[in-house]
Amino acid sequence: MSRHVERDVTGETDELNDWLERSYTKAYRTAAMICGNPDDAREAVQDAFLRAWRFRASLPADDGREPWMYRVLVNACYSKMRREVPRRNRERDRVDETSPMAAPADGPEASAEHAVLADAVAFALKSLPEALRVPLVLRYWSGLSEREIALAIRRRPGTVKSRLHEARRRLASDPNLLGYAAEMLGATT
Amino acid sequence: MSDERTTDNSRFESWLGAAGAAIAVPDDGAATILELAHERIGNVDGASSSTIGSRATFDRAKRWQVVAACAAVLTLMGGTLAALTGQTSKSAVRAERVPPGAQFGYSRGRVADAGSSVVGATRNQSLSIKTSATNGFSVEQRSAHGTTGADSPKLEKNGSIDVQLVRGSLTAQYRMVRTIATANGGYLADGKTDEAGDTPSASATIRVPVERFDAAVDAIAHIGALRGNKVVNRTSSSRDVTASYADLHARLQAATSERDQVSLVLTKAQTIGDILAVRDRLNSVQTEVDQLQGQINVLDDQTSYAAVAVSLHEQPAPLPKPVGPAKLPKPATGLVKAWDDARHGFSHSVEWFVARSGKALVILGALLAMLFLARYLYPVVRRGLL
Repeated sequence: MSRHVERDVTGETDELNDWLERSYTKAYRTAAMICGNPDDAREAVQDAFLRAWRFRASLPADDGREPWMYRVLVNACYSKMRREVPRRNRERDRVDETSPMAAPADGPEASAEHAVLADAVAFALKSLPEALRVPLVLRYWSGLSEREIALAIRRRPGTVKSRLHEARRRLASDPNLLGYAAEMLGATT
Repeated sequence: MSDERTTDNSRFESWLGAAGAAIAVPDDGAATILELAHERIGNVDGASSSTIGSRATFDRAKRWQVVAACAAVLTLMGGTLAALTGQTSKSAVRAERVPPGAQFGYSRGRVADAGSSVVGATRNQSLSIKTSATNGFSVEQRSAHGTTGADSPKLEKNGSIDVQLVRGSLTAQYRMVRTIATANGGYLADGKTDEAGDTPSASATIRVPVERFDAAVDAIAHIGALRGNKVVNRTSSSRDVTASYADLHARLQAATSERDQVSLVLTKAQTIGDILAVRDRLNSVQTEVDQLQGQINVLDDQTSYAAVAVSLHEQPAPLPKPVGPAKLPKPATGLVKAWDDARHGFSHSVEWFVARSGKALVILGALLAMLFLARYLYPVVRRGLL
């Protein structure tokens, strides 16, 4: 008991609170992109963070905490999508993508173009199967390495690599994103 | 190549970044989680927080769901157990339902030949099923016999049973048939035994009240299920004679009425010729009345007592072994013995599986139901414990 008091006194709980508040936005958006539903995302993030809070004594250190959290989060997302709320009307509860945070400060035209791109990517993500969508989101939104993704989804790194390849191929060939792909290629060349 | 990959990565990062940044985040999300964490789990740290803390702050609102889930699972398990035990007890009751008169032979068979007691019990199960299946019919018979009204069905029943006995048991089983007849309120109408020759045999016709017909036939058939005996043939027939009975009654009533009228006419006849003519007519009518009454009596008797023709014959004596040089049985080699064992084991396994498939289906159904409950109730419990 004295150890717990000492830990509280040392401010580890406050540090955990800060980490939770800092990570919430990114985690929520990751879950929203995986689940495609705000209710699922909110519940999944809530489950993941409550789990982190509950087992905070055994949480990994700073470097390993993010992958651990994403692993728990992905499991929670799977759980929400597959088991706990199988009959939720996900089409009705689509993710609200009209965030004021989404508007970049490059003017109204860039903002509109940004919103169209976001909508096209969100639509393309939804059309991807779950097995391809999850690694893609974890890799390019959450910034996890292939090895960390493999740990998060409990698959071999080779499997993650092939799934990422397939996901990229499908996303790049999405008709709504073809223009953006060409534009991007033109900009780089 | 590496440039292309870098381009790819930056392209997808920008795309996913655009899509992710466009998602609206709840303002109070983190605060809600922190509040929930403090409320549910508290500040108890470490491993104890996952047990003591969560138990202490268990969501009371969800408790009823957990209790309901446990109650549902327990009810299901209890129901399954009750169904299984009910099945067992029913079959036990069926096995114990031995027809009157056969109880003695049944118990004696079990004591005398423990090896065949299982077979006896098994056959007895099917036997008692037949008895219970015909009970409804017997009840109808009883009511018909009791009322004897013109609109009550009058059924005439007959049956025959042919039993092959083990050698040396003819006399005892013949006595048993007679005992069965008297035990069921009937009598031995006809009987003949022939104990000479290689195949001693006996035939008997017993008559029992129709409502005891099925019980008596079952009891005799039960003899055939004991100690190596075998029921070779068993028949029973039933005939509805209600129409004939009603017709005879109507004709008897008409004839009686005519007889009374002719008698009245006879008292008023004046001349010798008239008297003779009326007397002739009276005689013929009286004869008709007597015939009809006799037919009715016969029908009454046939519908009150059913006849069961019983044929008992012992198995023929085994043929004498041909005289010749003594031939020693060929000893089974290890391989032959192993093959026989495997064959018997396989057939026993198949029999066992078929015999228990019914119960296995019940258990499988219960397991599936429990799996279904666990599949949908576990998340509720899990969320409640979180």
